[in-house]
Amino acid sequence: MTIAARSDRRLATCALLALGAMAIAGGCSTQVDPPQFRMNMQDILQEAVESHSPDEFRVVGNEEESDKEDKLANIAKLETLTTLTVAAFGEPNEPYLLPEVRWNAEEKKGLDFKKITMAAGPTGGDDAKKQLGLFRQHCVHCHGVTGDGAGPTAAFLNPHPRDYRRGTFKFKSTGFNDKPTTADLKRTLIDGIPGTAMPSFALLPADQIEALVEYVKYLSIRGETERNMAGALFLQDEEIEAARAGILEGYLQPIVDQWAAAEEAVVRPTERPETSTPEELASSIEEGRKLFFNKDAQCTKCHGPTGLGDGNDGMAEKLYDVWNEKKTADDLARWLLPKQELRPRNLRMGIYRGGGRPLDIYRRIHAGIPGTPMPGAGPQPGKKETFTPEQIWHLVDYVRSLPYENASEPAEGQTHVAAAHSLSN
Amino acid sequence: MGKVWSFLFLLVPVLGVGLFAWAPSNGFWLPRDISKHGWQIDHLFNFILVLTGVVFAATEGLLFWFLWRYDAKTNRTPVKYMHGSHNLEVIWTILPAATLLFIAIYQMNAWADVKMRKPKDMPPTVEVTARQFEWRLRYPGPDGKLGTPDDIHHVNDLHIPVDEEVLVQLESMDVLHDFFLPNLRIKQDAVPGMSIPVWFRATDTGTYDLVCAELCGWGHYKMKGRLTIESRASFDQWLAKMGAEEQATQEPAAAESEDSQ
Repeated sequence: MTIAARSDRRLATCALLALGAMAIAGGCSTQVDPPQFRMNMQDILQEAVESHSPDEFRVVGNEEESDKEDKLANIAKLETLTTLTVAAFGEPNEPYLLPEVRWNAEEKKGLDFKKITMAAGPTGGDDAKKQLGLFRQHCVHCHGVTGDGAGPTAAFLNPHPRDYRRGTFKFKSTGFNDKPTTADLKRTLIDGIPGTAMPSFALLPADQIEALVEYVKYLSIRGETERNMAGALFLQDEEIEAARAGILEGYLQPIVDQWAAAEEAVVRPTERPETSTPEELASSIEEGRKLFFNKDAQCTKCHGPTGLGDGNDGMAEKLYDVWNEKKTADDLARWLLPKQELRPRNLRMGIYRGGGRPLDIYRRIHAGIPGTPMPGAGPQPGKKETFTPEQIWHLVDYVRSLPYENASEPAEGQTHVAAAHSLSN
Repeated sequence: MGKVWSFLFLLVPVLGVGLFAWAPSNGFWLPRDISKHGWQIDHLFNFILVLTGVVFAATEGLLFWFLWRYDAKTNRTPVKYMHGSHNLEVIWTILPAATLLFIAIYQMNAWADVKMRKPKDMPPTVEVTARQFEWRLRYPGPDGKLGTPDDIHHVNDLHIPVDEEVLVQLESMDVLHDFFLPNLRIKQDAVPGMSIPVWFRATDTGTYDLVCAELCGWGHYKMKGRLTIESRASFDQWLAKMGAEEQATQEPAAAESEDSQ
């Protein structure tokens, strides 16, 4: 036997050994992990709330000039905040819900824990081949682990993905200050948001959509509770007592109640004025056009006289939504996402982020778009309505006619009739 | 040792041809063809596959034979070098050139059917706009024209009627995408700034895949739609339902019951 042949054999033995080792290692890793037990979160929560005195919630020193000791005290506060949040909600990866927050069929409020666990955690299937970890599979790269809208791909997008933690949602069927309904979030998932990077998930099975919607609600409630508590950590004396009423009554329950109340707060417009004939539609569009230029409505201030969304162009004062307006240069040095200017919608594109049905546009005009400078023209709590429902319908007809109207010859009655004719044909 | 190695090389054509013989009857073959023109594409595919298969088997067989015949252990004759053979050079230049020319002419009709013989005097059935990472669809409303207020918008869920010519107006909103209907043997790049007509005739109803076949970004893998081919009657019904939903001025009844659950 030659030397070459012998070294060949040795090589083969080594390869076999290596393969065997890999097989054993592989075999070991498929072993079932030992069972994991959770700590009693309610006890931790109770303890955390009870063991902190009101003084701890007081802001120490001026943030700008505080010395090292003050800063340490503030860090300790943030640690308390984290403890409280994790105690009440678990981690986004491994959610937990206090019994009071779980779905209550009688009062029709709370979150469905089963659905949330379906969307949370690592992607994969369970023994029954049910898809798990949906949020990580479909959403997390933009919306982030905690729903902060700062996932790895977020920085490339305009607008940035929604930060759920404010509990503010733009496109919904409810009033300006209300939360969206479950059906609203479902609609956003199914239709996507045209004009943004949010794609459609129309082909996902219904149970997966529902699980994701429930998880978005969970992240939003978790984030908003944490946010409000963080605010309380730096409150003035008199507000501290209220803040100390406890996470549950003071922070969590009100938010859960708001979400439940949204289901009852759906904006249901009055019957739309008759527009079945081209002439009726044309006169409604003409009415709408007049209202569009109405001084009280101030539509043109942002959307421009031609509806191109250029009303604010060249103005010294830029427009921002609430996710962007407070970002200072100092923040930006630390924050991942740059400050984005808000552009009023170009109404001639025919692209409607919140849906293009007359109903959707009615609700946009009626309730406004929370988080943006777009005000609601319908009656709001503590604010008189700008327009009557009938007037809003005229505006809807006008806005919907804009993509089909020649921008260089606006306001010609003939154009409206032509557009109306093609609509009724 | 040398002869053992030559058998290893023989395994390549044997397994290669064997795999292709085994695959069609075991579900690893072209998706079911449900288009009128698809047979031409499949025929070309099979024709070229057999042609290259024969060349492949012959080349690999020759490689095996050379390894076997000229094994260093058994072949003691010294190697002789030659400058080249004019005749051989001519043969292996002209033969492939003629073959390629033949394929180029042979496929012209199929190419013309798919890319050039656009159905005349026909409005688009649907406008498909690809964007990262979804398929935005726009159907003409009752007036049969695109770009009018009664257009019907939809996303990812493409419906078309069976047994009639379908004309798709393909556009892209951002980057290169590729409109791929495997069962209809349709694959067309969507190019930003261009409006590209795509036409076909489906011969069977059912639900099939619509996928993006051009790497278009990180979400390319999820840019998947669904193609539903249905009778003209149920297509019209579906379109009318979509059109009515798009003109909704009140919450539809179905959504109401969901609201109150």
